[in-house]
Amino acid sequence: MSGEKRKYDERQALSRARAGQMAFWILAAMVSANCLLREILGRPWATPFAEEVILILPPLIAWRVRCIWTDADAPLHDRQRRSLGLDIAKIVTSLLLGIQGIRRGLTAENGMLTEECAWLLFALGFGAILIASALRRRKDAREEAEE
Amino acid sequence: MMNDMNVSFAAGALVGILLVILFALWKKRRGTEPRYDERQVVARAKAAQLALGVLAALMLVNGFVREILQTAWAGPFLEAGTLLMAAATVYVLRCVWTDAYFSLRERPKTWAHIFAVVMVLNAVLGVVSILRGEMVENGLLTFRAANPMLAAMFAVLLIALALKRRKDRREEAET
Amino acid sequence: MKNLRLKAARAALDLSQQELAERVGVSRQTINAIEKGDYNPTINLCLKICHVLGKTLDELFWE
Repeated sequence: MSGEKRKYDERQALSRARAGQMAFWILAAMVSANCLLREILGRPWATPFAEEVILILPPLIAWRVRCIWTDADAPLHDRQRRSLGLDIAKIVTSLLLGIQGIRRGLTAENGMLTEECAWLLFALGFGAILIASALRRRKDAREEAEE
Repeated sequence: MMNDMNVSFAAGALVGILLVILFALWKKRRGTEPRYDERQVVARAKAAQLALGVLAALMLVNGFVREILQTAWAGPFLEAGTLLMAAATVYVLRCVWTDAYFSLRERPKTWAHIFAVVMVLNAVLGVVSILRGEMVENGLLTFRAANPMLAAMFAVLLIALALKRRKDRREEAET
Repeated sequence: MKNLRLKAARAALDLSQQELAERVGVSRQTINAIEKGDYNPTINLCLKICHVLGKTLDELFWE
C-alpha cells in the first residue's frame, strides 16, 4: 500500500459515514443489552477484555460489510482485486485458532468466555466480508453487462 | 441478581426511553418531525462515525482497566451508561459544531433552556448524593453517580451551544 | 473553493444568507458553507438555489 492518503469520492465518503452511523447504533444497542444480561445473570459472562472485544466485533463487521456492499470499501486509487487466497487463509487460520482454543479448554475460564472466543468471531467476520465481496462483484459484473 | 436500586434505575431509564419514542412518534404524526437538510444529514452521519470510534476505544480501555483492577468500578448499568454518555457527548458536540444538531424546525433557544433545567436538576441531585455519601457502595460507584455525569454532559453541551452561537453571530455580521 | 458568484447573486437580490436559506429550504449555515467552499451541494440543491436566485447552473456553479 502506498503512502498517499486514501481518497474516497463524495458518495463513498457519505456511504462510509452512514455505515458508521449504523454500526454506532448497533454497538450502543449491544452495550445496553449486555448490561441487562449482566444484571440478570448477576455475574459477568466473559472476562473483561473478552467481553468488550466480543461486543465490538459484530458492529465493526457490519460496518465493513455495508461499506463493501455500497462500494465504499476501496478508495479510488486502490481498486485492486481482493486476493481470494488471502481471504480464505484468514478465515481458515482464525477458525483453526478458535477450534484449537475450544479443544484446549482455553475459551472458558471460571464459567466465563475468554479472548480465545474472539478467533471464531474473526472467522465469521472474514467469512461475511468474503461473501459480501463476492456478491458485490457479481452485482457489478451484471450492471456492467447491462450498460 | 438485580437488586431493588438497579431495578428502579432500569425502570426509570426504560420509561425515559419510551417517552422519547412516544414524543418522536407524536411529532411524526403531526408532521413536525425533525427535518435536516442534506449537509446536516451528512454531518450527523460523520458525527455518528466519530462516536463509533470513541465508543469502541473507550470500551477497550474499560476492558483493560477492569482486567488490571480485576474488579468492576461500577455496576453494569452505570458502566454501560457512562460509556454511552461519553460517546453521545462526542456525537452531540460534533453535531452542534457543524450545525447539524438542531433540525430546520427546531428552536435552539427553547432547547437550551430545557437543557439548562435538566443540567441544574441533575447537578442538585448529584450534590445531594455526594453529601449523603450515596455515590459509592462496596467500592463500586452507584447509579447515583449518573446524575453528576448527566449534569456535566449537559453543561458541556450548553457551553458548545454558546460558543457556536457566538461564532454564528460573527459570521452573520461578516456576510 | 469559495463561491463568490453565489454570494454576489445573493447580494444583488439583497438577500441575507438566512433569507436565501429559508427560500431554498436549508439552514443558514449550509448556505454559508457553500459560499465558503466548505460544502459541495448536490445537483438538486444547486438547482433550487439557481431557481430562487434566477440564475443558471453555469452562472453560479460552473468553474
